[in-house]
Amino acid sequence: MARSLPLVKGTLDLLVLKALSWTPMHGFEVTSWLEEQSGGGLELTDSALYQALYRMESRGLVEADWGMTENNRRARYYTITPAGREHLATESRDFLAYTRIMMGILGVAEVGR
Amino acid sequence: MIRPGIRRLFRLHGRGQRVVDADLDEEIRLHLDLRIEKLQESGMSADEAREEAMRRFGPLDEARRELRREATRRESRLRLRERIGAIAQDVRLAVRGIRRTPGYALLAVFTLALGIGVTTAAFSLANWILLRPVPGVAEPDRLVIMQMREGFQGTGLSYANFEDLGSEIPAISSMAGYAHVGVQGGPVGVKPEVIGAVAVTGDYFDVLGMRPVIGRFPTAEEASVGGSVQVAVVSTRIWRSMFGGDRDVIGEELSLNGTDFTVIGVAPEGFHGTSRLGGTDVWVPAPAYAPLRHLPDSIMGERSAGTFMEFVARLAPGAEASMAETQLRTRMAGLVAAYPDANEIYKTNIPTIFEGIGLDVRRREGAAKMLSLMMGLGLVLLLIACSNVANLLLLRGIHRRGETAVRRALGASGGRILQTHLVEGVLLALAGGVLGAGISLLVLELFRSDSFMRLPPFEGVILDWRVLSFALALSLVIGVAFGLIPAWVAQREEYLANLKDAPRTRTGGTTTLRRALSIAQIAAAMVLLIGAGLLARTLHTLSEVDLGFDEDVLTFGVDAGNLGFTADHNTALRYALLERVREIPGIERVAVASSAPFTGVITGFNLRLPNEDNAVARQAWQYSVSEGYFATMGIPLMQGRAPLNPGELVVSEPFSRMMFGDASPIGRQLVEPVYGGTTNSYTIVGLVDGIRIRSLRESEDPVVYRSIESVPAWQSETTILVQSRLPRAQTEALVAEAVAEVEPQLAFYTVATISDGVKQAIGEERLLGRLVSLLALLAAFLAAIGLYAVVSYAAAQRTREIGIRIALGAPIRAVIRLVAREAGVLALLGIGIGVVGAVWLTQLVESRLFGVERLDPATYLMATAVFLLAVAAATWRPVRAALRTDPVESLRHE
Repeated sequence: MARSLPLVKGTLDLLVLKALSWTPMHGFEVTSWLEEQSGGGLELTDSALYQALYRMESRGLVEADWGMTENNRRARYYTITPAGREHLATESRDFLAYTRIMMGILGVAEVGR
Repeated sequence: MIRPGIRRLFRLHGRGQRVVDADLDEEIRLHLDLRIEKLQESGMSADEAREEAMRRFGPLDEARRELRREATRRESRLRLRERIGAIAQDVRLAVRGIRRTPGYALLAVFTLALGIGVTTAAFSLANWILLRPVPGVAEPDRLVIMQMREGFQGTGLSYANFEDLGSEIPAISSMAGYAHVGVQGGPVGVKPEVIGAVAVTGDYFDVLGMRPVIGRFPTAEEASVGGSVQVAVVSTRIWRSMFGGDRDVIGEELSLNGTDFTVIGVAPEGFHGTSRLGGTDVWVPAPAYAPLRHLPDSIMGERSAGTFMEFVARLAPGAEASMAETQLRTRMAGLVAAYPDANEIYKTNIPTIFEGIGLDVRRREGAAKMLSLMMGLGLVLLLIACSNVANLLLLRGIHRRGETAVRRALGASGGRILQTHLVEGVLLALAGGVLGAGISLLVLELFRSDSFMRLPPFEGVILDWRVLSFALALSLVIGVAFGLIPAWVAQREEYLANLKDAPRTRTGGTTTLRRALSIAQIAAAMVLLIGAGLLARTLHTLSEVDLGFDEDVLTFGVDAGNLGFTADHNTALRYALLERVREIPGIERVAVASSAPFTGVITGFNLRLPNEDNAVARQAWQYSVSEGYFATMGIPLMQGRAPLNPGELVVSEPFSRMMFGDASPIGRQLVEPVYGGTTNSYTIVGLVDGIRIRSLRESEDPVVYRSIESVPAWQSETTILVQSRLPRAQTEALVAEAVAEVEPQLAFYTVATISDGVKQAIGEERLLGRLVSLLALLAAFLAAIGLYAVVSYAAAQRTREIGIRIALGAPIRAVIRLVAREAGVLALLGIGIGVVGAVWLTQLVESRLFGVERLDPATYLMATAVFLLAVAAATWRPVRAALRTDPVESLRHE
C-alpha cells in the first residue's frame, strides 16, 4: 500500500461533492466511497469529513435529512443541491487547470534533471 | 427519504438545540457502529475494531464541539430562510386573496389611505413648522431666545447695554443680538427689490455654530461699533437669484438703501434667520444699522436707543434655560441701577428666556394648537377608517374560518396562522400608507394655496424622512392591529367544530364587536359633521360681514424711508405719486395713505378732549390720507367735508360715538398728548361711516383720519390705493411703471387687493372649514359603508329565517323591519353618542366660531338628517336583497 498523502486544503469538499453527485449517501457511505476510490491513499480523519459535510450544509451545497439504510437503521442522508453541483463543476475545472499547470512545470523540471 | 422542501411544509418551527445535539450524537454513533462492523468483517476483534474506529474518527470531543457549532449556525440560518419563505408564501396567499376580492381590498386600502394621508399631512406641517431644525444651525436644542420684556417681543436693547450684558451671564456661553432693517436694493445697476435684512452683532454666526457655504462671516471687529466696514453675507436664495449662483460672488457689490456693501460670504442653504419662517436674505454687521436706516452713526453708542430687538443665545454646557433667565434678570437689574435714566423702561420690563429657536415665540402656541387640532381631526378620520377596515377584516375572517380550520388541522401552528393574518393586514396597511403619502401631498396643496395661520406660503419639499417614517410607522401599527383582529377571532373559534360545519352559517361572537365599531364610526362621523356644519356657518357669516369699504381696491406699498427721505421729501413724493398715477388712463380713482386696512401696518393714536387729563386719552387707529381717499375706498361721508388740511380730522362713526355719544362731532376739538409733554390739537371737520380694519369678528374699529401731510417722520411707508377699470395685471404694470418714473429707486413691499388681506385674516377659518367639511363627508361616507357591511352581513346570516317568514306569508313590512331594525338601532345609538361627543368636543373650535352658537340646534338637526339619509342608503340594498329572497332557494341552501 502506498504512503497516504495529506489532503490538499479545500479539496475535501470537492471529493465529498463528487461522491454525492452519484447518489445521496450518509456519512459512512461517503467515507467508504472515498477510501475505495483512493485505495486508502488519502490521509483523512472521519471527523474532518463530517466537518466538511456540515460546513457545506450550512453553505447550501448539500442538504441532509433522516432516512433509513438498507438494514433499517436511521441515518442522516446527504443530497447534493443544484448549488452544490455548480460548485463542484467550477471548482473541479479550476482544480484541474491548476494541476495541469503544476504538472507541466514539475514534469518539465523532472525531465531537465 | 423525504424531500427537505416537503419537510418544511409540515415542521414549520425551527429545531431547538436539543434536537441538534441528539441528531449529531446519533449520526456519530451510527458512523462508529458501521465502521466497527466493517472492521470486524475484515477480521478484527470487537475491541480492536472499536479502537481502530475511534482512531480513524479523530479526537471525538473536539470534533463534536466543532460539528455542534456548525450545526447550530446552520439551523439558525435555516430557520431564518424558512421564516422568510413562510412570509413569502403568506404574501403570495394574501395577494391571491386580495385579487379574489378586489373590491374589498380597494375599499380597505383607500379608506386607510385617506386617514393616513390627512394625519400625515398634519404631521408634516407640524414637522416643518415646529420640529425641523433651522438649516445650518449646530446643536439647536442648546439655543434660546431672549426677550427684553415678558410675553412681548419688541422692546429693544441698545448696543451699549447689550455689550455690558453679554459678558456676565455664566449660564450663557455666547449671545447675539440682531435687528431687522427695512431694506431695498440689489446688485449695483439692477432695479432694487425689497430684501429682508438684519444687522447682527459680532457673535451671531458663532452662536448659531454656522459655517459659510462660500467666503466668510463678518469678524468680531467688523461687527463691533466703530467698525464701519460695509460687508454683507447673502442667503443662498439671493446668491442664486441676484448673483446667478456664481462662486466668484465674493467681492461683488450689493447696494442696500443707497449704500454699497461688499459681499463676503454666502449663508447655508435654506437659512433665512433663526425663525424657520424667516425671510432674511442679507446679514450686515451691527454698525451698518445706522447708515441703512439713515440715522447718525452715534446712535449705536446711545444707551437708550433700543436698537436690537431680538436675541439668540447658546447655553453654557450643563446650564439650563431657567438658570440663564435668573442670571439675565439679575444682570439687567444691575444695569437699571447703574443707568437709571437711560434704562428706565427695564424697571418694569422683565426679560424672559424661551427654549429653542425655529418658530417665533409668539406664534409657537397658536401654531401648536392649530396643528394638534388638525392632527386630532386626522386621527378621528383614521379611527373611522380603521374601524371600517377592521370590520371588513372581521367579516373576511369569518368567511375564512373554514380555510383556517383546514390549515390548523393539517398542523399549521397558531403562530403560523397569526403570521398569515399579520402579513395580510400589514400588506393592506402598507398599500394604504403609500397611497396615503400621496394623498397627504394633495392635502398639503390645500395649505400651500392658502396662507396658513397668517404664515407666509411655504416653499420646498416638506416630506422628509421624519414624515415618511411617521406614515410608515402608522401603517405598520395599523397593519399589525388588523392582522391581530382576525387572528384573535380565529383563536376563539373551535377549529374542529368549525371544520365540521364550516359551510353552515352561524352568528359569531364577533358580531358585538362589529356592531360596536359601527356605532363608533357613526358617532365619530357625527362629531365631524356637526363641526363642519358649525364652521361652514361661521365662514358664511364671516363672508357676509360688511367691512364698510370696497375690498377690491388694489394697494401698492412703498417705503421711501429706505432711501433716507426726510418727512418733507416724503410728502412731496406722495403727492408726486398721486399725480402721476392719476394720469394713467383707465384708472378711475386713486389716493395715497399711510397704510390700508388688512394689508399694511396700523398705528394707534391717543386722543382726548381739550379739558381732559392726558391719562384718560382714548386710543383710536389712525390713517393719514390724501384727497380722494374716501371716494377710492367707498367709505360714505356722513357729515361735514372730507378734504383734509393739517390740523384737521375726519372721524369714523364708532369713534365719534365713543367720544361724543350721539352728538355731532363736527367742529369739536381734540388733543393728542405727545411723548415729552407737548400736545397737538385737531379740529374735526368730517364724519364718515365706520369700517373694520383688522378683524372680521370684532365690531367696527374707532378710526380717525388726518392729512397725509401730518404723517410723522418715522412712519415712512406709503400705500397707493387704486380703483381701476383695467384688468388687475395691467393695472399693476402701469402703476409700477408710473412709480418708477417718479422715483426709480423705489421698490414695492406689497401689491395686493384688500380682499387678499381679508382672506389672510380669515385664513385659519377657511382652511379649517375646508378641511373639516372634507373630512366630515369622507367620514359620513365611510360610516355608511361600515353600516352597510354590518347590515348586509346580518341579513345574509338570516337568509333562512327570512325565507321561512316569506314562505309563511309574512307581510313585506315585517321583513323590512327585520332587516332594518338592526341598522336603525345602531344608527340611533351612534347618532346619540355623536351628539354628546360633539357637545363636548366642539369646545375645541369654539374660539373660531362666529355668528353661530356652539350648540346651534339647526346644525345638530341637519347633521342628524344627513346621517339618517346615509343610514337609509346603507340599508336599502340589504332590504331589497332580503325582499327578493326566494324561500325555496334559501331553504335548499341549508
